[in-house]
Amino acid sequence: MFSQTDFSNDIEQLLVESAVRYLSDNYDFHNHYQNIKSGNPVNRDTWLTMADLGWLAVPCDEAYGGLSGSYSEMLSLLTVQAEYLVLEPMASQWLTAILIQELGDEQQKETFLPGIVNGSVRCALALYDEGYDYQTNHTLIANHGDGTATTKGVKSFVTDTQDLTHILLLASDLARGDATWLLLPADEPGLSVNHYAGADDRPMGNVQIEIPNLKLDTCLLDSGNSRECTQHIFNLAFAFNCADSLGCINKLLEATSQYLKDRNQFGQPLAEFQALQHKLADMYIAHQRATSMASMLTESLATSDRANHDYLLSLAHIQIHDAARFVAEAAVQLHGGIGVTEELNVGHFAKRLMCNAHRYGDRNFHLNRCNQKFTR
Amino acid sequence: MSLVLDERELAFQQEVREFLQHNLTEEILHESLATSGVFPDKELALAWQQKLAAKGWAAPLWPEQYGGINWTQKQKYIFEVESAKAGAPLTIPLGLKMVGPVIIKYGSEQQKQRFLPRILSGEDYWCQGYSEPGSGSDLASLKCKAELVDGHYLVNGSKIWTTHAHFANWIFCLVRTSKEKKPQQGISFLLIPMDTPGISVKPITSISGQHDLNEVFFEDVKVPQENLVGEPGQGWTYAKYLLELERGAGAASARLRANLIRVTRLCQQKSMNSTQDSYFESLYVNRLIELDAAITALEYTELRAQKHYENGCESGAESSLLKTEATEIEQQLARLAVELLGPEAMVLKREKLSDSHWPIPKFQDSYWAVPRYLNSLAASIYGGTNEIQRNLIARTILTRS
Ligand SMILES: Cc1cc2nc3c(=O)[nH]c(=O)nc-3n(C[C@H](O)[C@H](O)[C@H](O)COP(=O)(O)OP(=O)(O)OC[C@H]3O[C@@H](n4cnc5c(N)ncnc54)[C@H](O)[C@@H]3O)c2cc1C
Repeated sequence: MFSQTDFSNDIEQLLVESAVRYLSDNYDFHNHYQNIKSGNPVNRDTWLTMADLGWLAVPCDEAYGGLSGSYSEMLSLLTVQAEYLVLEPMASQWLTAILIQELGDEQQKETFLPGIVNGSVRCALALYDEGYDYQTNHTLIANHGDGTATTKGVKSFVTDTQDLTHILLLASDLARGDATWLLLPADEPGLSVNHYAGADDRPMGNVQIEIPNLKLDTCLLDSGNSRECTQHIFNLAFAFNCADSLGCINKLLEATSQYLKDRNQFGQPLAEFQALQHKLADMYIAHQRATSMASMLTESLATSDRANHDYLLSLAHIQIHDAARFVAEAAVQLHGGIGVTEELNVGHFAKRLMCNAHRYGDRNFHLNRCNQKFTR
Repeated sequence: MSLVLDERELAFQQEVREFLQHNLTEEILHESLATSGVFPDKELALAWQQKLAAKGWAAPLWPEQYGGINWTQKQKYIFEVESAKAGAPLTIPLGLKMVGPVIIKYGSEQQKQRFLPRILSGEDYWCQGYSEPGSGSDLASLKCKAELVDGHYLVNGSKIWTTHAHFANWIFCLVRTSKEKKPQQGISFLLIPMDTPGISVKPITSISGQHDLNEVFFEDVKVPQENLVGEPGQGWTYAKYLLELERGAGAASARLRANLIRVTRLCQQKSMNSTQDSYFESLYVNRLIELDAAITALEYTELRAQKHYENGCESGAESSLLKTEATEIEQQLARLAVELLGPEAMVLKREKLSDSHWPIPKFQDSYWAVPRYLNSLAASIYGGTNEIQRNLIARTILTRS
């Protein structure tokens, strides 16, 4: 058997172990289920605790109170939080922080990064118009040339929309014809969010933008190579999403093997039935495939050559989410009736995986991206 | 049996089509297409049952003298196929296809007079009390007990996964009336009114967010002795008869083909929206064809099974085979539908989405796909899990002389 976790260094190990400790003491399934049922899936106090524990600081530069953590640390922590079905939006905050660091000017960094570190800035990424093609963007900015612009569009399936202070908007600049990022206050007049819940209970929303005279100086993030950065942010989003899915797969395997030992039918534990042993073995094989892909993407992100990321991250998405679906369905099946109820965590992991498989591109999108490598 | 229809069968097919045309109103069809659960909603199913009953078609499995119809196997099949094609709702099988046939085969004359008309009319709504928390696949280990005390059975114990118990006014239960050597012995088949004091029902929410399932508790529930079906201690025989009916009856392939058409439509709609449509289609068309092949094979397996039954053969491995095939094709279809949805696959409960903020055209079919997928995961669990079906199939093959 492979060991469960492979840490790249001591800091990462400390971080992950403290996360496991905190989450297993404070974030059991029962609490999670109660939060969902109360209609407040994301808890403010938990969020601030996560800030206190330093989790939100991981990607931020030390100069702004951050930890200057590595991608490897981020991915490990994301895998752990998914194992507890955490809905507090760490990944969205991190992506925001990374984007601000890459594209923001000094003033913007000073304004926003400390707020991200201490949890007071809450930001969702409004990326997709429809479908997954972020390169054809219908949310437009028409620059008036006097420091203001008209901005108009609709963003759908925006993730993590609860308690927002800001919205990070991906738009197209009419004049430049290029991807442009705007960091808008959530209460900006002309901005409205229609909230709904994802199948995994994640707060989601569609964002409508109709701002005739937007002052660009504070909100426009364009102090870097925006095209390259956009691509990088999406690749990171894919990677973070994969790490989250790996956490769900870990837990489904663990829960199912435990259940086979605990549940008796025909006077013996289910674990005695060879048909089920083989299914469990197949789950393990799929799980290992996903784990290996996660190692691959961790290593790929650590190497600086961003040109290869598109292909490799799409491979990871496809492999991890194929494994995810197999493991999720097998876990439900091996639990029998209890597996299809909301009262057990298994179904929640299965739905989270279903959503992750469609959040940042689906199988078709990622196949297509890989395909381009051959047809170009 | 074959798919080729003779003149009389063609005339019958025409009659069924006309019936559907006149009775399957826009409203019923709409509700029917929205159904994503294991069963249709109570109201929808009963509305449809009433239309069928008015024509005398509500209970094709029953003999004429009890309000059934004297259809040939072929006619039953034609009826199922046409209903599925047209998108008609299913009726709730709990009364019409489950307890009804058991009462007809094993019940007393008095029970037949009392219960059958009320099933037909929809006055009585039944649920099935077999499974227990400790007894799922190993049903024979069930513990819910009924002791005979002063001409009454006193029932104590609990049942779980009881579909639609919250709607039902009757439950048919397997209860232990005596302790014997083999667990299958000493089980009896008891009919219990749900409003009897001592019964309580606790809802169970499914991962699709729907409430179909329940837990039912019995605490010193007094049931008249006359509510026992057949002989005491023979409940296992009756239960097996019913389980086989549950697994193998009807024309699942026709329902699957109707679903295939919906998924194909979804694929076409998505291709039109896609920026790389030829690529998109080429990815999926082959998978649709593969599913069509599987459904076609199942269709002919069903026809062969009908012939097998007509020849008076017992249903054994055949019903297990049909159940396994039908449910696994259903799951593949549901999976493919979700895969086609793109980001819409992340949304399960749509009531909060107001039209004005929904930039993507609202396809009925995409509404249906996510809960349908989640509910389809249960199909390889209920009615005896597919692992258990495979055990039965293997046993049959290996013990064949
Ligand atoms: C949607 C739904 C509706 C239902 N409706 C009803 C209803 O109306 N009335 C009713 O009485 N019941 C109903 N059931 C219950 C259903 O019949 C049981 O869930 C089923 O028999 C399985 O039992 P279990 O859930 O206890 O799973 P278990 O028996 O605990 O099985 C768990 C897993 O172990 C496997 N397993 C068990 N034994 C073996 C073996 N010997 N060899 C190989 N694998 C094995 C199973 O296949 C399964 O994968 C319903 C269930 C569902 C999901």
